[in-house]
Amino acid sequence: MTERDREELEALAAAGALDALDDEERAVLEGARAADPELDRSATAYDEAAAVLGAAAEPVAPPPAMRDALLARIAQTPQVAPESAAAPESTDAPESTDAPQQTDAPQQTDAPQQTDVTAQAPPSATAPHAAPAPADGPASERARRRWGVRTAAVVASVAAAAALLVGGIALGGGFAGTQDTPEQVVAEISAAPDAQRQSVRLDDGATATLVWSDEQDRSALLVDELPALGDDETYEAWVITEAGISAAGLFDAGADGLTVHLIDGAPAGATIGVTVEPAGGSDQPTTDPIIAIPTA
Amino acid sequence: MTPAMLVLVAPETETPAQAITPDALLVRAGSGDQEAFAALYDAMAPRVLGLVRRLLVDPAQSEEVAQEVFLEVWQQAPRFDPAKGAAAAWMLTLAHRRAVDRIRSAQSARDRDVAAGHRELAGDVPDPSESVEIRLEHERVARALGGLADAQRESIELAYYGGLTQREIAERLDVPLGTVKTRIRDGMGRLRDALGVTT
Repeated sequence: MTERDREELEALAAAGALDALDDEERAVLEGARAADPELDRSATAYDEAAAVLGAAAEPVAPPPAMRDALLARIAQTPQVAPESAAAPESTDAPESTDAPQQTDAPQQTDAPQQTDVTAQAPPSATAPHAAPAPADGPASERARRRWGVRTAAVVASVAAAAALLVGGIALGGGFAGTQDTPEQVVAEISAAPDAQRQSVRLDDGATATLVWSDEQDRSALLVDELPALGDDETYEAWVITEAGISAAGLFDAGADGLTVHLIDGAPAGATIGVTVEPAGGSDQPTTDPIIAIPTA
Repeated sequence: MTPAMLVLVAPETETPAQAITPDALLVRAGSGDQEAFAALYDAMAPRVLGLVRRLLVDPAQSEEVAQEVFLEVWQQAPRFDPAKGAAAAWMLTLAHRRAVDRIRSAQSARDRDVAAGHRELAGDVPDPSESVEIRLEHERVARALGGLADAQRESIELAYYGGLTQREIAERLDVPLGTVKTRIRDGMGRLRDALGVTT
């Protein structure tokens, strides 16, 4: 490592302590910290200096209801396995370091920036009057091609994903219930030792996240700010592989600005997509995807 | 090394838990001890919520994010290692990260009044109702920030309290990105030394 590299990493660590990095820079820093104990120590010192800034913020007394809700919630929320020697913060690292790897994807020519997953989706995809796709070939073929292209648009916004994920739990409300709500299932999946997640950022700045566990053999799709559809339309999830596209359930937009859709099975490298379909769903996608999350 | 000042106690807590450090509580919470977690919450919630509020401004959103933070603290508690850093610092780091995530995922940074989160710390008049610990901490941070060049302090405050990336700071201040990076690196280096955080 050259002196210049070292200085750049130090600068990255200093800015990282302030959370002033973009997703790509953050991934670089996490990877470098994991590989370089000296840098990690230095970065930890910056982090602690930043935490002192945080400690100086004026305290705000939380409402009592927040305490009650939280304690009810944790009583039902499993904890991660302790076996990892990693400090809590570093549990983000393995996922973060995935980001640079995605630049190796065959179709990826750009840096893993958010080149808008929905950029090519017509406005109609989320509007009540989505037109059927033109008949220039099997819909599934076109959809797969489109999704293939969109692989390049992935951004592994792990932090955003985690926020959305936990946000989903909180936004779901219903803390009193003891049934397995979708939010609870999400919490269980995300607490699995082998839990994985992948996020894409949508055109409007919203985020779609898939979290899954091979061990639990199930997945959950979380999307924030998904528009509500008319009665004659529905959202449909798809599992897209080389072998073809299979339907993975219908769902509506969630009430609280967050939509949770549970999917049986883990994606096993497939791309998970979402289209707007006529009410009742379709056997194969008939419109352009509004979301595509590759998991390979 | 962990600065002793990060062993925080809540300003108005009078439960017996006050005598127990957040480190010890978090370790106990990590073995599934819900009472320890409740005590940890009592000790730290005003701090966590205070920091999140500083960034997000909106009370309802701030409470939501603070709750997310504590849920994540609960989930990750078994992996907490006091040898690697103080619980309070870790929780505040997490709270800051999640608040910034919320800002960016909602892309609301543009719409927010960043200035609201960007008050001049050094010029703040201490609130007499603040506890002694908080006030001492506040003064210490204000002094440390006061030791920075104005340009360094400005960039650090825009980043930490405003939730902006370096790129956004460069745009906002209309200076080259490299300049912002240098200010933050140098300023954080000084801050680290001034606050007694050393490697």
